[in-house]
Amino acid sequence: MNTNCPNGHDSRNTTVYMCDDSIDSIFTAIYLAWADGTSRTDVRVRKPYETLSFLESRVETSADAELADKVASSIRRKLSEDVYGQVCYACLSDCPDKASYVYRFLIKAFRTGRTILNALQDTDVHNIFKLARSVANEAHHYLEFIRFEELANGVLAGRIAPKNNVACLLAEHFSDRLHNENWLILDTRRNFAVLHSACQGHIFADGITEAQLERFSPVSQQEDAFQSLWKCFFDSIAIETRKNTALQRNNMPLHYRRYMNAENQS
Amino acid sequence: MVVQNELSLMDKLRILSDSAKYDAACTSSGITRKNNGRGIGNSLAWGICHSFSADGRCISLLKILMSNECIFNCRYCINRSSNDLIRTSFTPEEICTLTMEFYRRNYIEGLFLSSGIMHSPDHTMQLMLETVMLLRTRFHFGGYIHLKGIPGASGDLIEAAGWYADRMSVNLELPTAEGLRQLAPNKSRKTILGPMRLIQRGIQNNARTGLTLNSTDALPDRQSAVSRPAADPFSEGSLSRHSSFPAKRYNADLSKPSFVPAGQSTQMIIGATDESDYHIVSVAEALYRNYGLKRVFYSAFVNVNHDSSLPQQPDGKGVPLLREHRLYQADWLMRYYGFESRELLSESSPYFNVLLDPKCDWALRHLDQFPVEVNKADYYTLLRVPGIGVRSARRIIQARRMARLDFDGLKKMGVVLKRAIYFITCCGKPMYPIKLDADSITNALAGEERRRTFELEDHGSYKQLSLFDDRMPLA
Ligand code: SF4
Repeated sequence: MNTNCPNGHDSRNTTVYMCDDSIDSIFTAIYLAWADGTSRTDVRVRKPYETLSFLESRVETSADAELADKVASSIRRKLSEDVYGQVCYACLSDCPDKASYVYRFLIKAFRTGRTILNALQDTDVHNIFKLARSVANEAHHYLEFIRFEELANGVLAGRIAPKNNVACLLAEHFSDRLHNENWLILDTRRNFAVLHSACQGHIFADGITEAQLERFSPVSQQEDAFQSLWKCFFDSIAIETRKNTALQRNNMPLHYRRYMNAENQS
Repeated sequence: MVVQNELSLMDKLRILSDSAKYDAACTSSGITRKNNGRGIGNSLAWGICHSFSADGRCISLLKILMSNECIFNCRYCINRSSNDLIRTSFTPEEICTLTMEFYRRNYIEGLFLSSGIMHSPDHTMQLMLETVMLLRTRFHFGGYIHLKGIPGASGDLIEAAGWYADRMSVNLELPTAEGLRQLAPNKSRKTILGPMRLIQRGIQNNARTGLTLNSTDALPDRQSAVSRPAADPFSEGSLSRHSSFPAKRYNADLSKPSFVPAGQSTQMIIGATDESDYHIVSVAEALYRNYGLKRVFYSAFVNVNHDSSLPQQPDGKGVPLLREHRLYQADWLMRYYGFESRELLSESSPYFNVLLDPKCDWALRHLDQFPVEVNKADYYTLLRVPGIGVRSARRIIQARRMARLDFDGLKKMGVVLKRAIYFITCCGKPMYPIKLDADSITNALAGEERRRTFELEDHGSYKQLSLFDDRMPLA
């Protein structure tokens, strides 16, 4: 466990506000830490198994919707929607220090005002951009690479195993695109799902496992046929004499292919 | 010709995608459209790649031919009438099924439909039109459709198709009329440029009136008003007058019918005839200016027919990808960076430098314009710095409003300095005390470029790359 605060503060004098891995929870901890004094506090997401450090004091917090709302609305009002977007994306990152980065960034942002996003050369701003960008990139890749399978009950089911918590970022895109379909997206690492019902809308659901999905419904009768047709197209569209698997892997890294059947076999 | 229409859908798909694969364009970009509320599908302007095939190319669209039957005999084409192949065709319904089912599973952004010429250009275009009408009106498909215009098809059919497609393209095929005459004797500049002009006018007209195409011929040609004497290498024959077709418009957005909203593109085959790079980029430039094209694609020639009258390629690999790559780089510079073709190449130096990308090459020939001060230079000046692209230039302009920029700041902003350091200063200072001397910069840049090129060509063509050996005397 790291006793060195990423920002070079002396952790012995720092009180760390511990929170869960959700935007609401991070915002709540930020609110409480702020009230305690920004110069002597930090914020960190709790890990499942964490050794205690005797060198720092901790305050355990849990999400409070009201406090989180206060943080969100001051960001949106006093800074901008743009800043709010960047911060939310950063909160979805899998970086263990993200809460602290967001906290440091917000301290500076409220001091500077809405032009903060122009300060691309500033370390605290740069950190947020980096996290947000990597979340956005991964989300974009899943818009491209997620595959849906048709289940016997007509539902289209897509599984992903992303590094960052991006499932919620795919919801809007597919709600529009597959507007009149029933579909679901399951993050198999987090057991987190987006469920969409045709022509209505989507909801988020926690605690849904891959095993549950399998029990939910087998794949439809025609599913195999269409997967084979796709595999056939995928293979025949490549120009044999120009085979370049290095480039292919560069553009479509292997970890995205976990649930891409055709692309996995090649 | 053996025509087999009893094949399974799988066999047809194999044959008709295999014959479509040499077409370079597979992008789904250029239009943002929300779902139509009745079916599946939308479209995003920046385009989405759903997979990458074994050759590393993006797969975005279901790229297929309606049929590989063809009455024409273009020498470079695998489907030419003189080849002995199994011939088959999809029905419009089969294409709709594949498109819809692939789209639902998020395999594709939409359809890219081309075709060999069955019986006649009109017959072929008619079938393609039927297919896209079916897809839009019966299946309410709202995804992307790229449709080829068949050379020689009547204006009415091309026009009608434009109301259902997002993008249309008519392939220029070869950069000169002479090349076309030799290699594609059944096509002519007239049958290619005719539909291209028609689509251009349709787009202009739609933008202006939001409605019909019926007054096409009365419209002044916007391009003729361009004062710059654009070198138009095309001798365009007069277009035959087309009657106004009562086009049934596909209303993606019910209130606002749109004609080829993602614009028009075309494709040239590179290296089947002996035009220079300069010739090719000048043709592309003229197409952008005079036909308002969104994109010109370059397809490195592969001698699939082992035709002895065409350039021989004993290794079977086709024209070096580096040449195609350089053309795309130059094309990019012309479209987004404000370069003109004659700044990049000239009659006396008509080929791209194998060692340097076209922008580095240009910069080294214009060292008097460097170094550029990043805290002062305007957007277009920044764009001319090797290594600074559109995104970096924007970030620089944004960030320097807050504070003066130094090299560390540039790095944090994600500006890649590897190439740029030779050409910029921050607050009057270069990153290292480097003398701007063309030879040493060339050496440094060519070393980096060589690695990039190696990645591009992959390991297979190592021999070719010994060209880039450091010991080579550098120009
Ligand atoms: S018209 Fe020419 S290029 Fe097109 S399919 Fe026929 S032979 Fe090939």
